[in-house]
Amino acid sequence: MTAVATAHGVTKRFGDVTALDDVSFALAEHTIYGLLGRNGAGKTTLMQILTGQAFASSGKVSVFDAPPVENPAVLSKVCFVRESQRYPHVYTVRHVFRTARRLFANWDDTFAHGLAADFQLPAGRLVSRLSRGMLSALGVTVGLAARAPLTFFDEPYLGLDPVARQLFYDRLLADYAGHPRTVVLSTHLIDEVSDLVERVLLIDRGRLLLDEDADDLRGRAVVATGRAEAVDGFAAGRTELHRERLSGLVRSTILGGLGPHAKALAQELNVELEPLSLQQLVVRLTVPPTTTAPTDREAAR
Amino acid sequence: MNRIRQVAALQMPAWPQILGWTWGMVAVAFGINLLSVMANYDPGDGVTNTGGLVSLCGVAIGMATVSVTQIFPYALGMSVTRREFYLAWSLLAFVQSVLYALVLCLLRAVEQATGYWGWGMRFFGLPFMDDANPVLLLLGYAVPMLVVTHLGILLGTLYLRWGTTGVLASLTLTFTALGLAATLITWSRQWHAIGRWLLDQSPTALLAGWPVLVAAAFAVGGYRLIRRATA
Repeated sequence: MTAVATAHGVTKRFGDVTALDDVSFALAEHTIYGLLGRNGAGKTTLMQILTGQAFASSGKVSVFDAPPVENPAVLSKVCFVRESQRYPHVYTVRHVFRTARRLFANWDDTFAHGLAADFQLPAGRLVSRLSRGMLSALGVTVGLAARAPLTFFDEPYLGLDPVARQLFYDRLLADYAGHPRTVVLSTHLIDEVSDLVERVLLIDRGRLLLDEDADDLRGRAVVATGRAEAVDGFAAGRTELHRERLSGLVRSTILGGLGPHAKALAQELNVELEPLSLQQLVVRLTVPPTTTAPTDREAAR
Repeated sequence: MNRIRQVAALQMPAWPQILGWTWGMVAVAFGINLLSVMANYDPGDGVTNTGGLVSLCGVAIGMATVSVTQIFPYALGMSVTRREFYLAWSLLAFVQSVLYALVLCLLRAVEQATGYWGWGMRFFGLPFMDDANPVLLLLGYAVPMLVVTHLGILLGTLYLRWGTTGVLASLTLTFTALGLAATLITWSRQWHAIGRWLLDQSPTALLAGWPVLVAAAFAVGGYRLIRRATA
């Protein structure tokens, strides 16, 4: 794996609050990542540190084999699109495109204008007068057309309606095929991007919980439904993440794949198995520790 | 240098507003001063000094501060380094100071040619620059503009680092320090010595030399502050 960015023991403190706690991972070349986690988990802080916009309290970050802070050679290959990006109040959409053309080496003006037409972005309108959806569309347009070798999207598509979000996913995949690069999508809309992302980084309360291939994660846990004794029999010796009772039936989330042995056992016990969606897995792994035992969370890593 | 020019171009869309507000406010100050002079006009009074250029300095400080606070978060989001941003804004300050100085030289010439606007009002000229040669005249306008623009940038970087509280606290500390220094000078009866030292300075040192050092001090301060600023 060729790493375009690495984080080693990155910690960020804001006074008493630890936003990132000893985070280490590597981002591979030409891969689409899903950076998942709850609000306040530390996703934005992590991306700010990787793009030199914020400073780590301790630990080491390397992007294209160099520290990103105040490094023009590194930053020229990086684009960070934030949901909360601020624009100068006199700027129109056209001004944003014009400045992006000057500042991003790989900027594709034709692609940008095509995207603007797709998203119905009015070129002459002041950015401060754009609706939330249009502001999001402007962000994703800049992020896609910049074609930076390392692109971060920090939930900029939150304001987009489902049709526009699908348009973004489609354009991203199509452009990625022609111009492979490393893309990090930070999002809450996990199921929407689950087919898009190749690898998942899950962060919770500043700690990295998962760094795995999305395909592996999809088979990581199953939901077993059946009578209590049957489910108990199936769950014996396995790690149970969650259990709920539904009119005499038990529905249990269990770590472990849907291998032939598991299927056979389930059939024998009359337990119905279904794969757990990525979103459900993330929910189960990041619910507060009062409802999920810490040992289960550790086991899931 | 090319990259610095590209970054400086981030301010391009704001130029109509910057120029419009700056010179619009100067025009308003000019008009009010002229009306005031006309209201009190007595042909025997000679030339009245207005000190109206202070309005230009005030607006230049405000414009530089707003420009930094508005555009820096955007620049950082467009993968510009803090160093590139600061150098670009210093370049802009320099170009703007020279251009404004040229305009002021022109307006001063018009002022003199029209007999001080026909009403004996000196608005753009400064009495102690009457004997200055053209180069010194240009410097005498440009360097103080450079000082105030860098002061505006410094205030902007203070805001980026510590917000409104940082700006207000810094201003309070500065005024306190200046007030205490003035008290100390009064107490030690040194005002006369300071006045004599000022009179001993050559016009070049007074108009351009020392102010350049002040501008450099502001620039160093602003640069150091922005290097740790976040958007």
